Amino acid sequence: MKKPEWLTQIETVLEVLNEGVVVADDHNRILFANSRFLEMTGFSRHELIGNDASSFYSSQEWASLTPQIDIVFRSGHNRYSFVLPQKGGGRLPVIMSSRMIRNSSGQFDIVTFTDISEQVRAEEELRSANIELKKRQMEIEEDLRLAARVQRSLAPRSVVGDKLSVDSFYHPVHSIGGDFALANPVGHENLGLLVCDVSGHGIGSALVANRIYSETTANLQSGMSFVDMFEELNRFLIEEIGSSGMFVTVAAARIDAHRRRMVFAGAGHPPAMIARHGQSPILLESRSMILGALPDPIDVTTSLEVELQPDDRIVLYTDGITEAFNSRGQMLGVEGVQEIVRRTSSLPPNQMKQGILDGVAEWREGPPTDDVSLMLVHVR
Amino acid sequence: VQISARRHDKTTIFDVSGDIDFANSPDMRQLMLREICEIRASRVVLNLSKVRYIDSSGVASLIEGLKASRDLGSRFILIGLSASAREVLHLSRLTKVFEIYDNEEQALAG
Repeated sequence: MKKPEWLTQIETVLEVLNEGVVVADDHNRILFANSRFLEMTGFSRHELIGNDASSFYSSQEWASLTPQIDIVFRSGHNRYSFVLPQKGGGRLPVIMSSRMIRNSSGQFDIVTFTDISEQVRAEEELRSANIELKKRQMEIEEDLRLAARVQRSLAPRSVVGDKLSVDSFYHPVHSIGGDFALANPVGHENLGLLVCDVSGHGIGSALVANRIYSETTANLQSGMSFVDMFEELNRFLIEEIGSSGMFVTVAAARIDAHRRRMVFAGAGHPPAMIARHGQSPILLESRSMILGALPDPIDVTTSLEVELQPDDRIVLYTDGITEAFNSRGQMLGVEGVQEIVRRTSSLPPNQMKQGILDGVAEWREGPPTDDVSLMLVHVR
Repeated sequence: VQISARRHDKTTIFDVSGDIDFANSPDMRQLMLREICEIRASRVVLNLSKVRYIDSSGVASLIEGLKASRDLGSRFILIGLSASAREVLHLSRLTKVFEIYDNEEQALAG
């Protein structure tokens, strides 16, 4: 077919474009291809001009392309992504932008080809990375499930003895957390208690919690003084963990059930409480600072001795209880917890733990944002 | 959290507003440490009067600031603690290690 006059006039303009351009007639015969198009395909002008565009595509590809060309002839324009055949048999991903021209010489299709191979490659890479990421995420979730099972095994079990009983609750804000508590009988008459909060809530905190669990369990069993125990824990955290931004608060107690005496010590931890029916709970405040942050956090008078009475309720907990906020942005705080403990201390011992948790939940707006641990000891 | 800094001579005052928690305490920590270690402010004052709550990671950042100041012989001062922030520091037994004042005038006079 003879090249129409209008095409001859705009050839120089089409030639300087950065995108491939082809002009075909209504029988899909190629009338013009610019240099950029030749570069993109690897074909010479001689191999293209006068040939049917379909001859460069496989029959399957052409079958997919035909409906798009039909749209151009029907509506005057179309834009879609497809592939451009290359001389060596390759396929270049492109955006094809077609526009129909009708004039006295006939109907023509001007097609612009934009190379999107970089974008397609990036998408492919992203897709592969996403698949890899999903795989890794599944592995991590599986690891977390296992870690959560391990951590749940560290949660204190209920202890029911002649003279003492212990009820406890543990809820990590994520699948694993940095709180742990233990209640271990020491000999026949004594009970060792410990509630510990490692700052943060995630894997790092849980690993540290697990690491110090075994240390502190052994120290509690061995009868080591709380001053020595806290010194040891502080040294371990600074020298062996040495992470800025991680510290530990702890409340520890040994109860001599026979003599009804308790030795208590706290380091940077919310005060333990002793609830006696009808009275405001007695606060057992920490005398030492948080552990793992500063070199000398221990007060030598950190341990205090308390006489216990029948039906005393000893409440140990972590700051997930005190740092609960209501809808007005007010923190429950120690005073608020003290009030809940006072109110619930008249309940039967087996209902008091739930009473405290309900009281905190009533105050708190929304779900807990920090790990929550609670241990309740009943002196029989 | 929003943090803005004011400098007077060798004192830098950070006005902090919002909660200092796990999500934003690293930003605050970075700003503070830069002021202490690079700018070498001889006195860093944290105005916390618009901070509702400091969680354990916020406490950890304050300790980092305190330690860096101690190492370089500068002062690290907290002012305008809300009741809940004061309680968190009190329970951690940290009120005795931080220099704490009610307001800016006291901090600058002290």
